[in-house]
Amino acid sequence: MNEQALDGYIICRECDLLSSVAELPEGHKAICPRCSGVLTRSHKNSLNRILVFGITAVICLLFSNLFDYVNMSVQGQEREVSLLETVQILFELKERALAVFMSVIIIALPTFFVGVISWLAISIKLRRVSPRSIMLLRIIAHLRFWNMAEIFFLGILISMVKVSSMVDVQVGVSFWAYALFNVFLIAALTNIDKFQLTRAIKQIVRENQESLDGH
Amino acid sequence: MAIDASAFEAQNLASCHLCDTVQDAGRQRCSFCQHPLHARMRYSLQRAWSYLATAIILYVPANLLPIMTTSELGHETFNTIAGGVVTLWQHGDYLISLIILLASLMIPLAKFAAMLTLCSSEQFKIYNKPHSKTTIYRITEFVGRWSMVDVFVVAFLASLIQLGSLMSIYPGPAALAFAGMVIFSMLAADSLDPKVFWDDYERSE
Repeated sequence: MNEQALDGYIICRECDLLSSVAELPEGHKAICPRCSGVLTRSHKNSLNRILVFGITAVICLLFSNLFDYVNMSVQGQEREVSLLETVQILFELKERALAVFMSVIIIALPTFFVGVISWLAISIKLRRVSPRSIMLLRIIAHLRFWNMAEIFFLGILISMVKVSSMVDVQVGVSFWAYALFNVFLIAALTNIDKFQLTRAIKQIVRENQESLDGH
Repeated sequence: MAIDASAFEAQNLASCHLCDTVQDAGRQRCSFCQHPLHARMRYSLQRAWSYLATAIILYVPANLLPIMTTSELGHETFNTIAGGVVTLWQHGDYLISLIILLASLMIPLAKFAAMLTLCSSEQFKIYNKPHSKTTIYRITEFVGRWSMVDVFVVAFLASLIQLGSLMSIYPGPAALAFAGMVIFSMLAADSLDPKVFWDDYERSE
């Protein structure tokens, strides 16, 4: 079999079975006949959705750094904390390892994600891609499970219940902006299918190559 | 083409980890993107074992040492994870108490059991049931990260509740051990290649 003939094939990520996948109609998914894992999913209008969700997420992220994140009061004393301060205070407490971990998980990684997603969607739309663009898709696919923003939210809710008998904790505008940021980030991520986007990138790279060769 | 045949063993084909291009498994580099080509993750089992062992070792200090210290009017209280579960239960916060019991104590143990089963079945060539093993693998990959919730609770409370001698909360040494435990158990699941479950399946056919 030559290289082009294998173009319509996919090897299952989980059980290594070779399957042929034709062009999937929008909204359909291909299931591995052996392990029943999802091979690939063709989302409706995926590129535009990724772009819109990604850019909305970037805007929400900006807002979540502009206002109060949470404030608390106990016996007349009040305190306001912003999103970046939650990490900064850990540094001041000399809990450096924990502080670095928190900055990566709740700030750096989500920010990196929305940046890369928006950039990738724009570059596919403008057809300015190279085989290196696929590297970004791979990074997204790999780091997906390390984005723990929704778990951080559960953590905040538990924290509020834990201290509710002693202090009065209230969330601010930035907290809701950060919540929306995570909703849009997850919405953008669910519209990303590595196989479909890789296929689109490959096709553009080949076409660009051919038009170069033609001149 | 037989339906029960791995691409690598039956057709000597591999797909690029980076760009998914299906090609001859004998190639050193991908024909499309030049990324090094491997049909299976390298040193998958060794890496899974070492990460798993690290995670299990860290589980001990994570549960024995205090995860946070509450200082109230000069009076310091040390809380462990199990202690927190009991306190919440006594206060009547049954739901939160159960979530923490599940996320911090049960899920890590279940995950260790699952990873031990998967790793040793590959190591000693026993329990040749690729369908069940793939299901176990998927669940393990999905739930593992939720254990992190307790670390977030501590980190968040420590940064919020800093009122000097009136009331302050500090993270304890167990917080870091616990974060490490979750990270290493996630790395263990990440490094185990589920494709190897199916290799023995064909040999037994």
